[in-house]
Amino acid sequence: MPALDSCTPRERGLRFSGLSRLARYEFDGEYVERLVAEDPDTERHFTRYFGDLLALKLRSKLRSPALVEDAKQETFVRVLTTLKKKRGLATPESLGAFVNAVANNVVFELYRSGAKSAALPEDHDEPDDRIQSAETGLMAAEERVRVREALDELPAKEKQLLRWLFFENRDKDEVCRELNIDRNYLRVLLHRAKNRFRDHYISEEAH
Amino acid sequence: MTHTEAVNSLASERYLLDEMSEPERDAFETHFFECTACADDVTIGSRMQRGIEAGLLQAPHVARVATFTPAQKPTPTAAGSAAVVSRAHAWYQSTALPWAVAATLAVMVGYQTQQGAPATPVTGDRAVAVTPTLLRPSSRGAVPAVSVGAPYAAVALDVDAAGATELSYDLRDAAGTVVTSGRAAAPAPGAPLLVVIPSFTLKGEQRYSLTVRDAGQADRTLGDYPFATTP
Repeated sequence: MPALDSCTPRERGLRFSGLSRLARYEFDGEYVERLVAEDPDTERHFTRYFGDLLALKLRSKLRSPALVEDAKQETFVRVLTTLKKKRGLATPESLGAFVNAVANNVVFELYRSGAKSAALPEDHDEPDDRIQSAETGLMAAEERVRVREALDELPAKEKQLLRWLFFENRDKDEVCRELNIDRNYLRVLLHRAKNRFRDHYISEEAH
Repeated sequence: MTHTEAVNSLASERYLLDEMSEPERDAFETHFFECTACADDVTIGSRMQRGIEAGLLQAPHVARVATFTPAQKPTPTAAGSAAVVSRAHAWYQSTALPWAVAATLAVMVGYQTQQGAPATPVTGDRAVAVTPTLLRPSSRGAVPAVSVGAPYAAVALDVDAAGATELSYDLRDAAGTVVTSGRAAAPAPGAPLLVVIPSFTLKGEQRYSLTVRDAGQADRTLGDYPFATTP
């Protein structure tokens, strides 16, 4: 694992402080102590960092967006409650593994209760009663702008590939035949597009 | 899975492409919860993917503005109704307008408020910048998200007019109720049909569908364009 700043986050010049690229924290004893002490910056980092990862993990297991969000929040509640009760972790470096393990338990319990398979009609639109704060609304809007601008910077061929894969959901074998490539090279092309997207996305953040 | 195995096997890409078996997914997820480099990599990939799914990756087409009229004509006693008229200026109808410019359009709109109409509409003309979301026929791709956070929601429809000179369209909610309908000239081949919708006519977190037909043959549907609204 690459070395990280142990305690102090690296600050960057930002357009909107709430959208900063996540400061690089190391998940060490001091980090967990700050989390237990409810330090706002650490809590914000924790929920943002693991929120993204949990959303990724849970989306493949729970089809309903509302269930994904509920499972994510339940995971956070359980992790933070346990940390406060035990006043930390025996091995702070395993915080990530702990969050993952708690998420697995939450999903298992949902499966057992049948919630995962609770069928929703195709056109069901469950109203979201969670009130979005002005700050998160602005973050979502600015995030959309940043993502769109980073996508706009990609070369036309990469845009076409990404559109086929993720907007048109074309069969990947069909895409490979169209481009006369094998599946491994498709992954290489995606890797390059993703890295280019990252470069533009980060440079947008720095402005 | 070790970090070296993840990097060498392009695990992040395989994860995004949904090419992993369930045990492999679990192994990679266990890894990226513990590895900040792989976590960062898979997060940025997901951000890119979700942006594309949401229609943020624009195609290079020329836009045309569709005239938007409510299903019910406004009357002095009608409550909550409003007429919206979009006027396209000459510079705006230029066929050379690239998507990069059309992606954020200044649209002149006029509002007429009626008794009992929502507070949002403003009497008179004002220019409003809108960012259209590209919609494709329902058989292709995930349902795009359209934000109703701004005064107007704009969608650009990838329509194959297939010889039709005039199109009719109707916007329905999830229950099938017509929210609004109208007609517009068919766009040039390869150009999208742009529809600007006052956001107050839409509810957040709902599904809608725009159906486009050949106005000359009412039974000929050219496409259904579903979308979901977001705040």
